[in-house]
Formats: sequence, structure tokens, C-alpha cells
Amino acid sequence: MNQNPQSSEGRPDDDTALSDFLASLMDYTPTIPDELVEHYLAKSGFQCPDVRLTRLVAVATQKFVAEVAGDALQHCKARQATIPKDKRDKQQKDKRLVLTMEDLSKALREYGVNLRHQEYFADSPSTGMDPATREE
Amino acid sequence: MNPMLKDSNTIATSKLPRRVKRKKGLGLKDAQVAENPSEFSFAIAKIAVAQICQSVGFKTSKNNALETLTAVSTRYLETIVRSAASFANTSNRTDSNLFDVINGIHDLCSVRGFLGGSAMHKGDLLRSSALKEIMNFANNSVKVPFANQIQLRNVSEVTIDSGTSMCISNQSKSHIPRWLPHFPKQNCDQVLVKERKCGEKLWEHSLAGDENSVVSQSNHVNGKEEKVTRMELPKGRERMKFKIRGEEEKRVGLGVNIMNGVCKGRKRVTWNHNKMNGFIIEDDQDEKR
Repeated sequence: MNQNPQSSEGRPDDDTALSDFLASLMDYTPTIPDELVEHYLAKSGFQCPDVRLTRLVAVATQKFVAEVAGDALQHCKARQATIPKDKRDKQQKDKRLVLTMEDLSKALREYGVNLRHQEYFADSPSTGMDPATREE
Repeated sequence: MNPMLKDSNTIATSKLPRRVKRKKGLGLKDAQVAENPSEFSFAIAKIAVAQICQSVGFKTSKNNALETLTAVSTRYLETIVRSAASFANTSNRTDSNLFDVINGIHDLCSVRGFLGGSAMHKGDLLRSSALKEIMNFANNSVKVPFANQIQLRNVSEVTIDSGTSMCISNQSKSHIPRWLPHFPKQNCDQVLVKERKCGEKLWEHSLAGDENSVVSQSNHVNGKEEKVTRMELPKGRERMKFKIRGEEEKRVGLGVNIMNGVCKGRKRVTWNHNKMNGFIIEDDQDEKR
């Protein structure tokens, strides 16, 4: 890590913040488990014995997923807000935040992922039936 | 009221009946067996992504959306790591370090843009705003540990044997007929040298040891040991049937056993090792001439 000559030019505040952050990664438990990250590291040819870098990659991925999910949540809420009020009151019991492909594709489009999916795909014989009676 | 509710459900596709949630909860509890490692890692990643979605605020999720987000996130992780590894390799290193990872993160954040992204390769990597965002995320976000404990059961199946090992198992070498003797093990060279039947030795051992005694011993015991080696074979060789036409001298040379009781009618040919060795030695002598 000392190979970069630019590291000496950094301000001391940033350096201490970064070193504190790296030290805190030792005790950090990201949602994505270390074993999973190490599997993908080994799969991609990444070789480093430092656990902190593994955790850093895990945190970066977790941030990405959280951002995408947060955007999808905003899309979901915004779509639900467009429903007229008289219907919304009736749906209040069923108001539930569901991650759907529709919101996810909108959220992922901002991150450069173009997601195309079937608008209607009859994956089971019960698709298209009355939603109250069908079993998914 | 009820028909209205049903109609609204069909219009707003995001509204799912309550059974979906129930089914998802059951699905997580069910013991699912992954068929291959990639499916296993994908299932684990799916749980982690579902946890993140839950921490963000989602209550439920559709299965296909969750799988899509999992696939995208695993590819995101792989791409960061792969670009970091390639950064390390281009600077003549095999081990990646923090700067490679930051460069890899920059590569993927540049799609959306970040502060200081215009002077990405000029500025200080450690002061990059992308890294600061990650630091802020790690400090401020709610820490949700992974739900399940990962059990690594079949580690031996996952790890790939290095090609250098000389101890060869029978299963891996299915193309070798089973009636051939086993391969020698790697670490028993010393023992093998003492047990060689025909007095053969490694060159370095032949310098140290006394040749004559070994050769004389082997000559004495040669006949018996031949039978012993045949008994040691794991499986009997199939009978080889072929006719020899033409020169009769070779038939005679192959051994007296040909016309004996076992092989009648000139179809089966057997020979013993002495005659074989004799042939080989003769051939060598011919070549020397």
C-alpha cells in the first residue's frame, strides 16, 4: 500500500479518517458475508490476504445494492402516490412496499443497467387469473 | 367492496396478495440443496440482497426482481474485483492493494459520476470522493449482519487439486485399464528402490549403494516375484486372442509355453518376463550393433 507516492501528499485529516475507517473495517460485519466475497474474489483472480480489502469490496457492493433498492423504493412510493385518494383509502390495508421489476428497472437504468423484462409473461397456468384466488 | 379491491389489485400490479409474503417466509425456511457452487453462492447472495432491501424499507419483494438485483449486484462485485486485479497485474503485481480497489470502484462509479471524477487519474486516490461516500455509508448505515451461518461442508470438492501431485487416485484416471498395476506414490521413492524387482535403481541411489548384491538377490528371487506381481494386480487382464501368421522363428522365440496346455490352437499367446526381458535385451544389443 505504500507504493503510491501520492499518499504522502494527503492532508492529515483525510489520512487519519481513512486509517480509522480501514481499522474499523476489521470489526465491521457487512451484510454480504466474507465467505461469499472471497468466493467471488477467487473467481475473478483477485489475490490479497488483507481482510480489510475484502470488507471494503463488500461495503462498496452493499452501498450499491442499498442505493438501487432505495431508488426503487422511491419509485414504488411515487407510483403509489399517484393513485387517486379515494382508491388509496380503500387500499390502505394492502399498502405494502414490494420490490417489483418495474421499479427495479427504473432504478437500475440510472446506474447504466438496461433491464428489459417481459411485460406479461405467463410463467404459470394461474397467471392472469383472479389475484385473490390464485396461489403464487 | 370486495370486487373493487380485486379490480384495483389487477390494475396496480405491485399490490400482491398476502400469500406471497407467507410463501416467501416458508421458502426461506425450506432446506434447499444447491446443485453446484455457483447456485449455492447465488442463493447466499440472494439472502444478503434481501436483507439489504429489507433494511432499506421494502416489506416484500417479487422473486424475479430479487433475483435480478442479486445477479446485478454479484456482477457489480465481480467487476470491481476483476478491474482491481487487472490494475494490479498491469503494474506487475499479483497481489492487489487498496489503490487497485479504489481504481476499480472509480471505474464503476464513473457511470453515474462522482465528485472529482473528471480528474480521476490525476488526483490523490486516497482522497477520492467515491471512497468517502463508502466511508460515510459504512459509518451511517444500519449494520445488519448476515442472517444465516454459512456451513462449508464440501470444501474438498470445491478446491481444485493442483496438478503437481503425483499420487493418482483410481477414479481420476479412468482411461487406464484396471488390470495394470497401481501408480507408485510420490513420497515412497526410498522404499521403492529397495523393493525393485529387476535390480533397477535410480541413478543417484546406484552411486551410493552396492550394485552387485542387489542384482544377485533380484536374480535369485526373480521367478517367485514374478508370480507375486501378477497376484498383486487389481483385476485380471482380459484374454487376448490373436493369431500370429508368418515367421515361425518368432513364435518359437516367444516361448516354449505357446504349445503347452494353456494355449492350444495358437490363438492365445503367453510369455513370461524372462523371455520378454531377453527379447528386450536382444533388441538393445541389435540396436547397439
